[in-house]
Amino acid sequence: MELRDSLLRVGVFLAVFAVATILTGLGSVPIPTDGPNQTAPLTVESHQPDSILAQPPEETGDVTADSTGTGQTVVIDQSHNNSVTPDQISPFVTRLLSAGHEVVFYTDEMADHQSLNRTLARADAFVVVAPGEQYNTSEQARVARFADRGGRVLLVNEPTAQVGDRSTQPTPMTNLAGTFGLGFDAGYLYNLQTYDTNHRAVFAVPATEGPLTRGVDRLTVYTARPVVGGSAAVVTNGSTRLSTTRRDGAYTVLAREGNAVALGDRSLLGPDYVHTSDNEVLVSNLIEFLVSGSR
Amino acid sequence: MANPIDRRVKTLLTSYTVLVVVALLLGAVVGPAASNALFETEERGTVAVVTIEGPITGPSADDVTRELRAVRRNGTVDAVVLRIDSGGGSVAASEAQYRAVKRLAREKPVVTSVRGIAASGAYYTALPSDEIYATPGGLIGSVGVRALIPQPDGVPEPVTTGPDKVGGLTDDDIRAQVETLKRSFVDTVYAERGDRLTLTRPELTNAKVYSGTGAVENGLADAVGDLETAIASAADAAGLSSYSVDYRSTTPDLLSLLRGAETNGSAAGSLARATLFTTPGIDRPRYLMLWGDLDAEAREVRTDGAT
Repeated sequence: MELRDSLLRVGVFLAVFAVATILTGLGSVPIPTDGPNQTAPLTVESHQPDSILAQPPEETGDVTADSTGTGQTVVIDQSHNNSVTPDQISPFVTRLLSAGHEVVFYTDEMADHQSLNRTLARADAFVVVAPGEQYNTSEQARVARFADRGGRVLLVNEPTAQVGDRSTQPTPMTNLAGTFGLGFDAGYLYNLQTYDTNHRAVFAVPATEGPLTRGVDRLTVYTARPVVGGSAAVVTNGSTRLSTTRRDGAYTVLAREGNAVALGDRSLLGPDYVHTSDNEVLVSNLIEFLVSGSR
Repeated sequence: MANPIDRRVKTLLTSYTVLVVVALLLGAVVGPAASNALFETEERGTVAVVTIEGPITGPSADDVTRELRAVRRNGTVDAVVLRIDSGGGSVAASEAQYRAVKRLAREKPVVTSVRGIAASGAYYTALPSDEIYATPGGLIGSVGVRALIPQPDGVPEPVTTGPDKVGGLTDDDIRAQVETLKRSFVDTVYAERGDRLTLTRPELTNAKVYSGTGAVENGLADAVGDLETAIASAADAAGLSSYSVDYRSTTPDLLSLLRGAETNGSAAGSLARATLFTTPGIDRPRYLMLWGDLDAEAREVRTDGAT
């Protein structure tokens, strides 16, 4: 009898356990609410290389100096907190040197011992790149007199730029450039319709035929400042805009007034852009301009 | 003689008061369900609202794509509203979110509601939506790409097997890559919304940010409306006249926060904004679809015309 009771209890236990197991097991079976675990391939046309891949601009050509003359002295100003080092304009400097000309960087140290007046007295050309300080009245007069006496002057400028969480200092070239009837607008040029890889790399073409643009078909200027005054030598196309005004226009980036030339793009003289488009031809022409004065 | 407990149980079970109360309770539970089963003719469904907010980084995009996959695979979700409030972030992460939304939009109606900002990579994310709603104060646009690049001058300090091993992309390389990414972004905008966009390509690539009303006017958005408008539109597109709303977040949960700052800078809140998009201690080019300035000691190349 006791054995029967025990077996009954075990049987009831097993039956309840089995029912509980089945019920809870059924409750744990995942009920599919999704479709089949497949994802159809996704092809996005605008992600395919054929339709979007941009290539860096082709770089060809060399800077040359065709003039037969040698021994000219070109002074490059560094004494006005200029935004220029030999490395930044190395193609321009090395071509002058290899053609037998002398390049003098008029540094702060030199300025302490030797006046601009004395330095220009033995110079044939004077180059000013993006000064950080104004030229005083006597310096302006001295540079103007230098040009009047046959010296060649090249004024190169660049826009104020953002660097990290600050801006580069403005380049107060206005007073000196104004001495020659030249100037630079604020802001930088860009073109969202026609450009060379980046909207700040703007195409420019000769405005007139002349020594400065001989052999130049098209230039690429990068973050250029518009030049005002003088005779326009190189202009951008009409869809170019100025960052400060957002106005379309054909902006001048190279102009000449007598023995002075104003260039609105320092990068043209540097290694990054000198071999793009016909930039190297323009740099060659600028070198010719500088060393062919009448002093 | 029965014991007192048995008597009380018997009294309770035979009490009219108890029977009425139990009947009322059961009726309250069963009644609405029975009513719905008998008289409901409208289709019931669920609209999921997925919130996407903050800077778009790799980890945050993982959270978003995981959630979007979940709502895409969930058969009880009939339509999805993206609740976006972000100024964008990493290009690759934004592309991942775009593709996740595009996959979702192939299978279910997707409507975007702009909470505050849907700019750059966040706007890219919203592009596959059937409709984009914004309030007048919303900010939409900034279609462009920018690159933060380390200063590459000089010979690399480590011994390397190639000149570019450390990361020495030339400026030309960087500009070409930025242009490639811009073309992809702009082409995608036209592919998704070309039929509604009134902006020319130069106008679009100017990368301007527009107010909600301006965006509706130029076709970057579809209509002025708030979240409820977007939910109703998504439900309508799914054919639902009766629906519930399932709110889902893609921001890190408490566990993610506890796992540490290295996986998600936005969660930590203590990292500089620039480091959200890179690995601290490693300086390499960063491509961003981002609107707004960064605390970064690096040179930058942009496709937009902003100064």
